[in-house]
Amino acid sequence: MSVSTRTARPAVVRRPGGVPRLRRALTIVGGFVAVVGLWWLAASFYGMPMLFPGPPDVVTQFQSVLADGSLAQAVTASLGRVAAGLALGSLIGTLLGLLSGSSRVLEALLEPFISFFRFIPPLAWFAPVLLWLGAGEPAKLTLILYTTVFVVAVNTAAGVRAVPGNKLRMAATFGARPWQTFLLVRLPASAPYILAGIRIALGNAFMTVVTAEMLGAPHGLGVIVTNGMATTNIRGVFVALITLGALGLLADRLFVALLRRFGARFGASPDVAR
Amino acid sequence: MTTTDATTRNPAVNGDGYVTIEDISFAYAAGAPRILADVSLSLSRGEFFVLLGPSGCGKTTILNQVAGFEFPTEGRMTVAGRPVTGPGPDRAVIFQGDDSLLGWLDVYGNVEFGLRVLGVKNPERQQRVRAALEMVELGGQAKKYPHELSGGMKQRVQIARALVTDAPILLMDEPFGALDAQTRTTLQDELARIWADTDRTVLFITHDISEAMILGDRIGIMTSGPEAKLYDVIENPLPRPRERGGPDFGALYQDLERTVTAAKARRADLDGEVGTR
Amino acid sequence: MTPASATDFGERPGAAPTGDADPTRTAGPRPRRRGPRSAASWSRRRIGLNLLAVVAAIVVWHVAALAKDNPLVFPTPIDSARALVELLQDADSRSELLITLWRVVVGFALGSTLGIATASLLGSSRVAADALEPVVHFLRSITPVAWIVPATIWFGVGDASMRFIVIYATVFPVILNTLTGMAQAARNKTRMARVFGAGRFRTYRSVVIPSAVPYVLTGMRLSLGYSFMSVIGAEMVAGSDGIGYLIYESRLFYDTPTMFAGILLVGAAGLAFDRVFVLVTARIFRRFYCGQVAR
Repeated sequence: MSVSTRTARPAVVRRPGGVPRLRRALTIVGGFVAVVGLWWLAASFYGMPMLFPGPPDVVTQFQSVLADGSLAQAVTASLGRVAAGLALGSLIGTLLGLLSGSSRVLEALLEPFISFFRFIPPLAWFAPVLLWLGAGEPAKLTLILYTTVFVVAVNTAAGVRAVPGNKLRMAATFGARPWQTFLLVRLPASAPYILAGIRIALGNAFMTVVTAEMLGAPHGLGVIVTNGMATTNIRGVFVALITLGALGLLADRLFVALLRRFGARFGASPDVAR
Repeated sequence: MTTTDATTRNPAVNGDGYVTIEDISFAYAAGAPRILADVSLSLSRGEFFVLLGPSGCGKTTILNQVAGFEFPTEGRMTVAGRPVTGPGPDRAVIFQGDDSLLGWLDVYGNVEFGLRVLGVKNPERQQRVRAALEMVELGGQAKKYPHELSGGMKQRVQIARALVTDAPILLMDEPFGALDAQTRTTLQDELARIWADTDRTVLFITHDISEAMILGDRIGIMTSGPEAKLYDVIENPLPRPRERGGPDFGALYQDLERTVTAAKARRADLDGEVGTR
Repeated sequence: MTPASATDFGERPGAAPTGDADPTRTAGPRPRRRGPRSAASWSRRRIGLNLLAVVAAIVVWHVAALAKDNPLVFPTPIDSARALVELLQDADSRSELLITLWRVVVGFALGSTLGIATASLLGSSRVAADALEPVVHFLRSITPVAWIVPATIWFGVGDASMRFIVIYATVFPVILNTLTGMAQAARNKTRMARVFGAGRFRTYRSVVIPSAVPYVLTGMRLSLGYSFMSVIGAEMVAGSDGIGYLIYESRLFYDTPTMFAGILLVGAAGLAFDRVFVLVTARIFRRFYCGQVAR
């Protein structure tokens, strides 16, 4: 996959306000209602709520884990890992990308590693990381770092290289020094690419952290999933899955909202992503 | 040709050498066909020079070379007596299209950019930006972002950005090419006014004959590329401020159009030469 | 694996490359000319730098491993290479790899088909697409590997559950990208079809679906990456065979060289699948890219 690989998420062109807001909201709610209805039907048809719980069972379970605080604890643990890993990974990735995007020599030196590691799933490193760092938090942080750094770096480098030549020429006509061109033009012009990279990294981080938690952690959503396996508490597993979906979706929408708000200034069309 | 006496048809008409272009040729690679072939030109300090020619004839290449973005394969160029070795703050460029504007800065920030790079401090910086914005009539739009502006307003921002640093030379690469006809005429008139007020030397590229007539003191006409040459340089006799229409305007337009057609035909002759060589 | 080195900005299939691709021409105190000759010499230098970096990394790895002096924890590149050869020579190990690859192939094929079919149905109705796209986004946000628990309960331990995970990982990115592609079908093209009297179905078949092809392929390529990611995770969490299991299991025996060999194999397989996918689809679907090169 080269840097020119296209949208990971849809970039549906639709004018905001084209469809009245209320109608749109109702449509979305309708979609969720329909899917929950289908789930309910399927669960009743299956007939074994212990193995395939329906919506009411899961709601009851939600109430109890919310009341005893165990869900909050798990969410805090998982989100904390994602946030720490993502922040650090994005920082390192951005720096690497800026470097490799600005210098052909550095790019040529980094290229083989980026294109090789990209194809090794983060979980494959779980075993060696466990061996080197033990089963604690550093191991999980390392895996999240691994799964975020490369995407952010590749996207950032693509952004740096995609800065329109006329912006650089414009800076040159005023006699801008290389560091001025870098700070005042290249870096801000790559911002949308950096953000797009971080957005993908966010999804990767969620995926990695849950699997890592499933393989061993004191708390976390992944832990609820594996415990559900051991205790045949499928309702608990469903609660964890739904929370995961909701958190992932929320975080992603937050990004999109940011992009919508500021994207146009960086040359991204306002309907980049929904 | 009733207007022949009003125009001086003489490629040797030369300026005072403030900007000189001497026998330049340009090819993208050694052995590749030459885009430009032996073009010479001399601009006077304070004049408005328009290069007129069909698309693909290398006018933009000439401008890029004066700006210092590209370099001739043969020949040399000087600005104020010194050879051109790269871009510099003595030559401001107004680009074709809007991709040189920085979308993350508002209008004020874009105009301010050059002064910040040059290290001009506030309050002088602020005062100069304000003045430049007033000059292009964008005083009320300072807080808008480029994506919120119309095409004409974006080009005004570019003009203000080029004016604010007091660069003595303005290089303009078909700056109004993408605008609708009405906006274009308005901006042409305003540019003529600004130029009259500010004493700049301008090199202006266009393929629009009436634009060349409204703006230029002299108009250089290019043949089609590749191997494009400067075909003729015409002095523009119309008094300023210029008005579109009127018999003088019409006559000069016809004359220029004939010259442009002849310049294209010259290109056809060249094709013949290449074929027989 | 970071399958989605994508940007949501600007780069649409079919969009012409824009901008001055060569910023190095921009400035510089001295005339710099870059013809084809200098481009060729740069590409040679670039390969040289690539090799230099790889060799340097292997040397550093080797020195570090020697310094650590504990092959159980940190094997040298030579140990790992030897283990890789052994792994490939051993029929049992080879079959672990084949099991994983087969899971990816089957799950990916089923998931892509399902995704394209679902999106084609949804995309034909604006209301259905609007209503269900958020649901798809939601389901996509759930880590595929987490489904291993319910899947094992419903389908039992083994291939069926693994297949479910791979299908789950594949289907949603394909749906989302296909929907996007269909929404991107230029309005003028659909209007053109109507002008010629094409009905709704005909327009859909002849204009909307072909316009979506590059998007569908992008979605599939992403999904291929997610498939690998998920199957390795699932095999480690709940598997009893496959290369993911092999890597995880070699930890228990402190067979670290084999672990490294397994990781290298997974990377090589992922790379090979990606290249093959791109080369094959670029050739078959070339005309849908309107001259733009798929890489």
